[in-house]
Amino acid sequence: MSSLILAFGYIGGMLLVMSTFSYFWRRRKNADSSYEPWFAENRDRDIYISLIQKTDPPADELLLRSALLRRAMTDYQRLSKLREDKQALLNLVQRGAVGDDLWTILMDAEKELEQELMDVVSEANTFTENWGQFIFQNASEMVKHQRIKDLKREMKELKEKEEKAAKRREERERIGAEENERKERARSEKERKKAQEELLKDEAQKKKKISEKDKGKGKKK
Amino acid sequence: MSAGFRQIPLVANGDQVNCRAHNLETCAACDLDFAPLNQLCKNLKPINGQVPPPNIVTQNLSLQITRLKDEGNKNFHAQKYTEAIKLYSLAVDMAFQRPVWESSGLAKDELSVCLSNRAAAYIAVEAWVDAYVDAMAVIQIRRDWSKGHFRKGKALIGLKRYDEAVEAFKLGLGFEPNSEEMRIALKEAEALINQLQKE
Repeated sequence: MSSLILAFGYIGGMLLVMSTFSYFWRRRKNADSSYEPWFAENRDRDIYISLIQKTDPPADELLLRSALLRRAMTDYQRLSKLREDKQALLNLVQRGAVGDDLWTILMDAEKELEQELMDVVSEANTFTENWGQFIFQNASEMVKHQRIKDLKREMKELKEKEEKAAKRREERERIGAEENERKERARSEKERKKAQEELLKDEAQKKKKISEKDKGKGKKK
Repeated sequence: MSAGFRQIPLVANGDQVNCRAHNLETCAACDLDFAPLNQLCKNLKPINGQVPPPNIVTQNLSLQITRLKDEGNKNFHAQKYTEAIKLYSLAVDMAFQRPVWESSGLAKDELSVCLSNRAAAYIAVEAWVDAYVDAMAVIQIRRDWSKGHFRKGKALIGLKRYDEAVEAFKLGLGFEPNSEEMRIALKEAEALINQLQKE
């Protein structure tokens, strides 16, 4: 009889220990999984949904289409980045340089992004039939094209900057040239003065010689 | 992936979206910037937001741009450089006005050629800053096109920035090692540096 109680007690005890352990372990695990998501908030998606939710008055269709396109452009850029990041992270994880947690976060992000892409496609189809099939082609072109359009502004800014720099350089050269000129003139002045002085000295000496000669002549006479 | 949905406090008047708190398009306090969205709205207005698939392009625009560029080339070869610059500038402006939903590859081709030709014309009249700006834009659009680096180097020589010119020519030669004119220009720039050092 007592051995039966002992047996059950043993089993019961083990179950208690294991369930206690499991309780604390899960609690710790859940607390740890409040990691930062891979992507920050999707502002363009939020703008689109906020606009769609407006009922009074409802937003213009043109505005909604534009907002949807911007949402698609953002999603397209995230997709490209995600593919790059996935490749890089795969390398790191395989080499063991990084833990698995990061990989889990990335996988969650990928799943969410796939869902988001499907949402965009179905939203697009509500505006025009089959737009969903090429909205992401539109988005990818527009992303690349927008970068080209931004060039126009950048060119203007660069031109202003360069013209200022060129002016400054010209100023510096001009000041430098003026400095040199002034030095040249000062030097040539000095030389002229020296030459003049020497000339005067020569003449004075000559005069002295002549007057001495005269004196000499005078005496002889 | 991303944080959950957040309701954005905005107000929409027709085609303009502003922040609800201050009625501003770009509001630092609300941390909101609707300028790109509003700009896109304006761009899409002519077609009512109904963008076609990207392979459709406005033929007229391409024809006009090509015609202006060819006229510019004619003037350039006749050494009428000011005229050429004017024509190239018109072509460049048109190329920039291509609708943003149309093929970006086409825009790239048109722009890079017109800008490169205009840079050559600027170099011919010794407008070095303009030539430099155009060359830099060409390189931004097509980094692996040796012409862009060549024009940049030439403009830098005109601006007396010989070290940078040498770097530009070397980079260009990296993309096209068989370019004779680039090699000559590189030697010219290096010679100028040596001359400066002797002085």
